[in-house]
Amino acid sequence: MPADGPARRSALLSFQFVGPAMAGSLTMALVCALAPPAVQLAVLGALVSILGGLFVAYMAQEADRDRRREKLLEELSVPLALAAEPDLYAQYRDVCQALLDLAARPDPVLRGIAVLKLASVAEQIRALAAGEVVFPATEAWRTVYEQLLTSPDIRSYRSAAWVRAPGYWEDPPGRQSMRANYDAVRRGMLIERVVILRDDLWPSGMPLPVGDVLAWVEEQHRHGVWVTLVRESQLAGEPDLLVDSGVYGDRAVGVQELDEHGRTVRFVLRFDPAAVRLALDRWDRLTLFAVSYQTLLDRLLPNG
Amino acid sequence: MTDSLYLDTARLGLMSPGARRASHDLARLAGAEGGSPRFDRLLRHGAGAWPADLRRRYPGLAGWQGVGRLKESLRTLAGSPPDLPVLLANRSAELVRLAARLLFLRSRTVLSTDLGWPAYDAILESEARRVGRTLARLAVRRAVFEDGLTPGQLAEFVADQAVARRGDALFLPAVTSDGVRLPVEAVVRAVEARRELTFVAADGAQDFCHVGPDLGRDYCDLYLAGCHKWLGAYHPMGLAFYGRRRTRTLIEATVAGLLGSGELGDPLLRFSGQLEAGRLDGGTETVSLAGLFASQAAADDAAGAWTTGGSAGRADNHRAVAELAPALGWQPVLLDPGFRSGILLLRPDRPHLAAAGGEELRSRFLDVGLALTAYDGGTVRLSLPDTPLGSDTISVVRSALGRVAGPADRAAAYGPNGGR
Repeated sequence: MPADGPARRSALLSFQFVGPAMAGSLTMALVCALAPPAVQLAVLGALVSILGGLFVAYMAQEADRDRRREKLLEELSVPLALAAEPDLYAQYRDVCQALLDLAARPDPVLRGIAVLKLASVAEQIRALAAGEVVFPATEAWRTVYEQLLTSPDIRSYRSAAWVRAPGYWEDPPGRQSMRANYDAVRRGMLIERVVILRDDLWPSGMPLPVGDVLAWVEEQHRHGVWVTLVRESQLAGEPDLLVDSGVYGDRAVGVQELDEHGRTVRFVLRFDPAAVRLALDRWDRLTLFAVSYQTLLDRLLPNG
Repeated sequence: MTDSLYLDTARLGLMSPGARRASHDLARLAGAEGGSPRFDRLLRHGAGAWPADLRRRYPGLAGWQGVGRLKESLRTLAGSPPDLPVLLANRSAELVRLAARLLFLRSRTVLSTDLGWPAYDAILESEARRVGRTLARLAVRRAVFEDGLTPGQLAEFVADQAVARRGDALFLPAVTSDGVRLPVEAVVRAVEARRELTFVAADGAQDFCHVGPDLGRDYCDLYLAGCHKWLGAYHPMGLAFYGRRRTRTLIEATVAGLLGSGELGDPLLRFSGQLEAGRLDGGTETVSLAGLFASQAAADDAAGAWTTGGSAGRADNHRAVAELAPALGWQPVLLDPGFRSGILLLRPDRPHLAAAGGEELRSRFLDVGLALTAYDGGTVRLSLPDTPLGSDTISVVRSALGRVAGPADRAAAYGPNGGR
């Protein structure tokens, strides 16, 4: 079986050893033959001292080389660690290449803009690294939302929907998300939703919400979502519960901020166990105020 | 050979007179008409849509007035409100799958007991695994059979367990295969006083037309039953009654979704829905319809002859047989009166019967004029009728129990037997 690399020769057979050894030995032989003992001793001392000096110098150079090697390895550790994550490594390489290309452009104005933008990007990446994704003023978050609802290891979804206007989640992206909810229920996900209703959408004394909101709630009930309801005024003493949020299993929590027309201002998704615990605690408190839609239907019965 | 006294209704009920006539005339019609338009007209619109001569020729089918009327008759027997639907299926297990889906749809933990029918428990377990939730089976059998638990205590126990285990749905047999009548409504009320239930389903296979139900009392979201036991239709047909208005749209949407996806594959379930709506799509597989006609006739027979809650006659029969059995070598299994139904279990005193196989024991009873269910180990199950047993009938029971038990020192070996 062939060896993996070239065969290593013994250092004793190398020219680097044999040459100096032969020259030194010949010199010492001549000195011993021709010179008196004092000279022989002086030559021997000089040779030993030269050897010592060479050794000390070698050690110093080696230490310097070690330092430089360690620094190099340290710099290489980032791509080495990322190499195990192909999707991230590809992005890393693209960014590095772009930075090298940028470095080749000396224009100081361009460089200034680039540094500012890069600082912003770095901040976003740091947030991502902390498990937080922010979707500003866009419905793009719904793609991630639907990915979470189809994730096989997420078996439950607790949602708090703060409905401040009719037509909540009734626009095309909202309808699409509702369909994702119903598909998830069909696959076996448990979806529990507390609907927080502004009081004009569920006037005091009315057995059920009014208008389109009722149809929206009934649709969810029909599709197997466990719906509970609470009036906004009931939460006056608990302002931190007035929030549009969702807890996806024990993996992530999402908070949606809407404008007065129900359009998304910001959606923040946190993949952080501590944030999930806090959200679950808030959700549990919220359920204390809520009554199930099923119970409200019971109350419509003559003896209810 | 004379007819035996039939006390095996819990396994398969005797065919009622009307069901017999309907089945006989259906067989004659099938021989004469096959699937002709005349048959189609009968199936869709009932005998009223037939000409008079056909009605005279097949008088056993005169009661058939379409699927809607059949469902109306069944609802009346179940005490179900007229506006709540009832589903018909060839296979009861399909309806149990539907119940399992609905139970776990919005629940983290479904509570059941160790008194349920094992095949149904297996379906519940399978659904629990599919969705990654919990089926908590409460151990109450020993307390009911041996420790003298009362229905009230059972209801409180289940309510306590619902709180402790955070149970939020309930599946109970209304009457178990061994005759324990569970107080389903009392259990539901006790649990709901402490904790909200998302869904309640009851297995009424041994309950329907025997003890209960009274679905108008709004305590059960889905009640499963069958036509071939206590109703007396003989042809197996599964029933699922909607029991609460609050879950009507939920069940309707779930049934539609499961039929659409093919997860519910019962042909009669699909076909009967289309028949009732008058919209046959022509794509349904060929369905056995004998159960429809027999069930309508049996329901007509049962109407007025049976009352929810069971009659005093059945309780008297239970008491009469329980009193005579000990002197004949059989010990009645007597539960708290609140748990008793028309099913009576007798355990043998004789050691040779305790070692007996059920199939052979059942044959020996039949040989002496009594049809009943027998289990390995010698226990027998008598399904007592609603009408009071006359002295002649009591004599048959006494004679059969005494002759099969025989002398105390007799030994025999018997083969296996089973059945619900």
